[in-house]
Amino acid sequence: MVSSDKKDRGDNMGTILRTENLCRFYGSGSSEVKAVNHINMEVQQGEFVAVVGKSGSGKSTLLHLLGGLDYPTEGKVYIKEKDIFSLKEDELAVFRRRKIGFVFQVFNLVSTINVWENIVLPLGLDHQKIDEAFMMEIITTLGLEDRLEHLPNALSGGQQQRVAIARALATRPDIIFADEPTGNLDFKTSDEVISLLKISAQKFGQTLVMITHDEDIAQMADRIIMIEDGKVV
Amino acid sequence: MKREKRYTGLLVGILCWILLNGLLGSMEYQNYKEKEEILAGILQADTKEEQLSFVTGYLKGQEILVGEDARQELEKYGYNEGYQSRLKKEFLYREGIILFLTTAAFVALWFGTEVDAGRKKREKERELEAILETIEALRQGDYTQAEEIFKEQGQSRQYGQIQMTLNSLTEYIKLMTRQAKTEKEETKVLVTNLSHQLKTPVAALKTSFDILNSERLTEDEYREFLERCQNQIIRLEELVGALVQISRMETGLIEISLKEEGIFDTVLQAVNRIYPKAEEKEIEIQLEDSEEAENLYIRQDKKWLSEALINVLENAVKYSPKGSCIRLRMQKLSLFLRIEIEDEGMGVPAEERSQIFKRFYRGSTEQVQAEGGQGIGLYLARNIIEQHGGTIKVAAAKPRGSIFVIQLPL
Repeated sequence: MVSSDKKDRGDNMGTILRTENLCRFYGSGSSEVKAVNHINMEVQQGEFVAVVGKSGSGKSTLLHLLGGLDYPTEGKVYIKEKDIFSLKEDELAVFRRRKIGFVFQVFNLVSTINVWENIVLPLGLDHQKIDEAFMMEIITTLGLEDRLEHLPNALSGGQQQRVAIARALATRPDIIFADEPTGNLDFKTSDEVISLLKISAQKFGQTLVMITHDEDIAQMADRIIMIEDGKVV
Repeated sequence: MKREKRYTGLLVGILCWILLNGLLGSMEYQNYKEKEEILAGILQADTKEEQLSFVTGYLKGQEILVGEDARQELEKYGYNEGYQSRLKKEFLYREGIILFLTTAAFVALWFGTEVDAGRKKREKERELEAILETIEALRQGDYTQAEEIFKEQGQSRQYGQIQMTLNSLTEYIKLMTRQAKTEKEETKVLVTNLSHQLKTPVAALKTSFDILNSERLTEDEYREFLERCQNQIIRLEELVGALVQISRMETGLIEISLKEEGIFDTVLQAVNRIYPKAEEKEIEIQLEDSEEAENLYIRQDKKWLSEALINVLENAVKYSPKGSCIRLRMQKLSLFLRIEIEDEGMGVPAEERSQIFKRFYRGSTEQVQAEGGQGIGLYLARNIIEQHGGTIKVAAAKPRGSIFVIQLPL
């Protein structure tokens, strides 16, 4: 049966993320832990990819490597054909700030500033001008218009996660990495959040790489990559 | 505009020069004249006491009053206007130096700003040149220049911003180009798929007809083959219908126009359409909803959304056993309307849950293969739902069956 998967078309012009023999080992000798073990993977621009694995399979470590938050023991990560680990530390920080958005399981919101301030925080750090129209578009897509003045602890878990997503979208990154974005939420709110992530990424033309242990959630992705013991299966 | 600025600057400069020189010049002149007055005053004094009082008076800051005769005395002692007296020489010399210094200073300043302006202009020109080059390369399809994302040291902030915008523009152009290419590829694949799908049933039909035509058959055999033909034609009809739908959707012929309409009505429409098929298998369809959901308005294309719902319901009916129950639940959440369609059928194996929405995908289990179908119902449903800004997924129902979860944005 001829498949219509974009993956099968071998269109390399659209590869936005690529790893080459990526490894992350901890310790040495008999106690060596191979958290990520020679992983080769590719993600096309605009794709929604889910990386699925059990707890301890190495998926979180993989995400940290892909996002440049951790250095690999071996191997390379290319984002838009740029070897991110060949950049100097402050160059990498700037690159990360501009090209990548992160959504974590723990919402990581700053509790002393309100929702709006949390969302535009990364822009302020980069001294970028705030495009108000674009911000309002994100905020309405995520249904946060009525909550802009609230502090994070006045929001429900689902709402807080939405703020985290808005913040990740605010800098218009090329790739969004989400690590168990629904870990702390009930299943209906989880569904909502994943739908939102998917729709927003589609709307703003971004690539979405999501880590999860829940296969049901992974289903909404365009493609699923299974990970076990640090390897792609 | 710039020229005006330059001339204004020059004018201001000249005015300052004039003012400064005027100020300093008059100070020097005062000084020179004062010296003359002093000399004359001292001369004027007849006695030592008068001299002393004059000198002390002057030192104390008293005003000097010198009479005409004192000047005449000075003249008598060899000073006159035409003669280049020492004082006058000194005065002219100092004036000369002042004039020279102020002129030199202003010229240097003027020169400095000109040079600086020139440098800035050249730098600006260089930046514009670089931008022009990048745009030119972009026009010719070369994206590499526009992909530099870091500011070099010492460039203006505006240049950095232009660079970033150019970078975004490049990405956009690449995306458009890629999308156009992908669309073309997808159409090619679609055409291949369609011809592939049609070949088999058409061939089967042809064979049956050939047999009917050529062979000598018994009554029963004849009727059997006629029935086969009829079945194949029905299947072909269904297939063609499905394929037309897909190709129209894929090539954008189907326009989904969203309007705010009551969702409950749409759902009822779908349920009514599927009812006969459900009745055939004695399957009960239960509707669970809240009053909230019943009055809800959602942006939708009623015709297409009910099509999507029908496809999912059809699927549920197809794979549910006789006498079972299909439950349809509607719930308003914070940002979405959540519609669950739960059946008590064979369920979808875990590894196939992400596949079933793909085009032409048919489950691998025996029951699915036996049922027949094109593998496009769920594909179309997802397509339509996603065009409504929603999502669809499937989960396992307990103890058996599937729950299809559709989320539509409020």
